[in-house]
Amino acid sequence: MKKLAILLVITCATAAVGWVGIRTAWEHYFPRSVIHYRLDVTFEVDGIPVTGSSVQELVVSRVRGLSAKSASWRAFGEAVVVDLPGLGAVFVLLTSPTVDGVYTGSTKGRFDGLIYDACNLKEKRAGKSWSSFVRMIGELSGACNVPSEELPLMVHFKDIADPGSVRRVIPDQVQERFGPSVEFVGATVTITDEPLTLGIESRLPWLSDYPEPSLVSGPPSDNPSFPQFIHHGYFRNLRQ
Amino acid sequence: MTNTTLDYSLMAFDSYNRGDRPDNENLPDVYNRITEIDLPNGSQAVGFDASVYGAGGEIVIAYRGTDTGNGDQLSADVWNGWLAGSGSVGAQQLEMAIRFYQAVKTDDPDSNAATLPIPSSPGRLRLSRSPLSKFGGEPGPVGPKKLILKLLNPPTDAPPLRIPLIPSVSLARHGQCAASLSL
Repeated sequence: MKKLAILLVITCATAAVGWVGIRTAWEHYFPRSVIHYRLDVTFEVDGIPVTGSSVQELVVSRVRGLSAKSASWRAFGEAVVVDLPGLGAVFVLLTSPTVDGVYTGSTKGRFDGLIYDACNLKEKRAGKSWSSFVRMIGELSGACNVPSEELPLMVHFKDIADPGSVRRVIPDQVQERFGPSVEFVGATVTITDEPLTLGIESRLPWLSDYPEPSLVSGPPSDNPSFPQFIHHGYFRNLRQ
Repeated sequence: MTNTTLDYSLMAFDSYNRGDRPDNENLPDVYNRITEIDLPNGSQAVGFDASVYGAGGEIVIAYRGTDTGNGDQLSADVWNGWLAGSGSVGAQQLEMAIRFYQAVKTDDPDSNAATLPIPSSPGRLRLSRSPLSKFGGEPGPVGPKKLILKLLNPPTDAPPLRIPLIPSVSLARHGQCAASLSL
């Protein structure tokens, strides 16, 4: 009986050591970093700054596979809401137009790379292995201005109760949407340890629990409408 | 012009690399990717993804395979996709694959698809392997393989979808839930 107990202890200890070893090796070769950042977006209305913020989450993992030379970037959270007094809210979504400003479809992936692009991490990666780079992401601090070509997609609802009334807001053309008293100032990302910003459903009661649906569903056509390109997940996309 | 095997492979390649980043400038929109058809609710949670193309007079659905980008995606695929290859009809990617197929069919009734042959082989799947490194490892979707289901032009009195309880051995080897679809 005593021998059996000793054997059992040895087996368990071996298994535990093995598990810790495998896990340590796994985390060494395939590290993952999770950081929170606050996205601040500022407009001016009659010369008075108006800022909306949302704390979002970035998950960066080295891609599995010993030969893989890349990292996976995923951003989660809720859209930034900027309340323009008397004019309604501008939503800064979890998706981005293309570099030349065009938006013709889902570009969630560009938003995932917001910090990579805005903070010019490509330069900081020079000479580092992907594993080292991913670990470095977890130690980021400070703030970066978001260049105009990296700004997320911004929208406004003519009638916030009607998701089909969504309209794009182009930062350098805000006067056309809201009048001459409004100007877009800029956006910054700041690494933070604050909790995620939640509660956007109180502003958008029609918001789905699922990220997949578009604001207006419809059959494919040669000229799809803007709301067909906007998915609920661009307003709220939380990690499962 | 009719799609060839190479076309299907390139669509798979396109879908896997583009994923939710259709603006990838390294991938010209050669195959008329149709983006207005929503994935079924809950797709992201179970790791399901697919792309639709209108090319060569056909509507082609490319079902994404395993995402190895991060642990969350990988575990979602293992639990909700790979298990389908072992014969589990409870793997949720199966349901998503069917629902997406039906959504595509609803949105394009002219296709009137009745058969879903699977022009997939290990060799073809390898064509879409480890692609992201070619694009400099920038942020974006990654993954090693993809399966295509091709919607042919079928007779109009097509029977309804049914799901085989036991997927074939070759499909199980691919670990692809979508491969279990048949008519």
